[in-house]
Amino acid sequence: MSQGGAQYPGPLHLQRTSRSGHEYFFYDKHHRGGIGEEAQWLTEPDLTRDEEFGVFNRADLHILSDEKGNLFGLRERNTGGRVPELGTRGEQFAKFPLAEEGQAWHGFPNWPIARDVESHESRPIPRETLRRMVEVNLLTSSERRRVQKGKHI
Amino acid sequence: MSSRSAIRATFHRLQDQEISWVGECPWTQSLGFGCESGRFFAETGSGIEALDVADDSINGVAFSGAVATFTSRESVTVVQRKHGGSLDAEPLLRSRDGAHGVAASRHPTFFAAQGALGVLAIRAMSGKCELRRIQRENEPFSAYQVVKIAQKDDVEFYAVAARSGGMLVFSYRDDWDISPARGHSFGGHDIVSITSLNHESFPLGIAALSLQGELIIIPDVTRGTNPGVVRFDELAGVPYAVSALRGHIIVLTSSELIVVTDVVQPLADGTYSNRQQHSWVVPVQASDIFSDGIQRIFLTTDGDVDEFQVDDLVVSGHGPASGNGRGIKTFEIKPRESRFLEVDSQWSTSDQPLVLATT
Repeated sequence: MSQGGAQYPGPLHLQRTSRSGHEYFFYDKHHRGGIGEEAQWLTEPDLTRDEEFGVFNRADLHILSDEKGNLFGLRERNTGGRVPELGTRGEQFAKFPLAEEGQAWHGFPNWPIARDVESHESRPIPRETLRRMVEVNLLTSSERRRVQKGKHI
Repeated sequence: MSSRSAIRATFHRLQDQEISWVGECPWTQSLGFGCESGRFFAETGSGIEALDVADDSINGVAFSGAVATFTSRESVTVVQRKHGGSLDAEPLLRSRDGAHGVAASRHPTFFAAQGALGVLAIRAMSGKCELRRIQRENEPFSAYQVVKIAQKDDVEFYAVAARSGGMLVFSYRDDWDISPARGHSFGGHDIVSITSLNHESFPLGIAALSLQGELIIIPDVTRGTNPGVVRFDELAGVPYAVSALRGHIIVLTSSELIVVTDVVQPLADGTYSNRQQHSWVVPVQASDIFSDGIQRIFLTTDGDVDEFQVDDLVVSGHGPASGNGRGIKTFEIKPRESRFLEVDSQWSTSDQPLVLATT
């Protein structure tokens, strides 16, 4: 798909992030729904594209990054105070790999535990990023401890 | 049931460490502590010893004879003890696949819950590890917790909390014989925690806690009998975990610890009715709960461990101070008249073949 002269394997969102002005596209392979080899975002009505972009925007706003510059995000709490899922396997966090300069970013639900199978390595959110989430009041200390054990919150 | 009172707990703290797991360490016959640093500590005759087993918070520890397995988000580590009475051990396996936790067989076999990868079975023999992966045929599930339910003759029974996939039960005999027993699905309930009932009348019974706040009691996981499925009408916070001790059920949420008294028998034998139910509530922000299956429960709070005697909680506090020099903390405990709401559950049970892959 061609958007603004760049080629992305999915539609580009109309907004840019408020802090850094990053562009964002919805990678097709992570928007097929169901359970697959690739992590899948929830689909509407459980999660809208605007909400997905909101996760990325907040990750950028609060600089929820690891040492490589990848960003990590979570949804706003629901009325019950819980952090809702965003992935079809019950994932509550998303990873946004560092994009090349001038390119749009994308993201996908992040596994809570490491996976080291052929051609598909996946690592959970680094401890430092979780501590940053506590610093900016997105997580409580108890929640951080649970996520650091691969547990739900 | 009208006044608040106080309950005392023994707290455990390790200097410069944040505790993420606690339980009995049979190697040292003392409490063992897994920490966020990836180190495991236990008190031996010569003081506190440590074992480096992970690079991240330890979330599961299981012992089987001279072999132990430690899990974290980042790894599964199997070690073999060099000599008795200490933590001195040599590594047998270090996997870069993480796990949510681990359970041990009496044989040197372990079962680690690895989410969408299923259950990793590890058999340690002659200083080496043999691995098999347990999945469900045609219907992958997310293995979130593995619990040993009971042992009947030479057969052990295990239950797997499989989130929206319900619960899977398998049996294990020596000689690497893993057999499917039964799959239970609970109409989309997201099963986040399971426990043995630890009740002599229901040796194959389990309690399961769903994210939606339902408590599901199955008196015999190998049978298709109707479970008691009930919902708390006052459950504050996100359901985290469930334990069962001495006929009571204990639920930890993100904001409180709830002790529902004398509830296992009526729920499991089907004599439960929609009635008022006594319970005790401790407002607490704990990250996890552990138990010895007999009388002690442990909460991990702020990197420390608070240890309670369940009988103290049930009789409204003022239990004997069990301080052993580690310190005493006081918690407020409040009575609650809960009411279980019976749920019209859509649940099913079926024999489901397992896929066993040897790696």
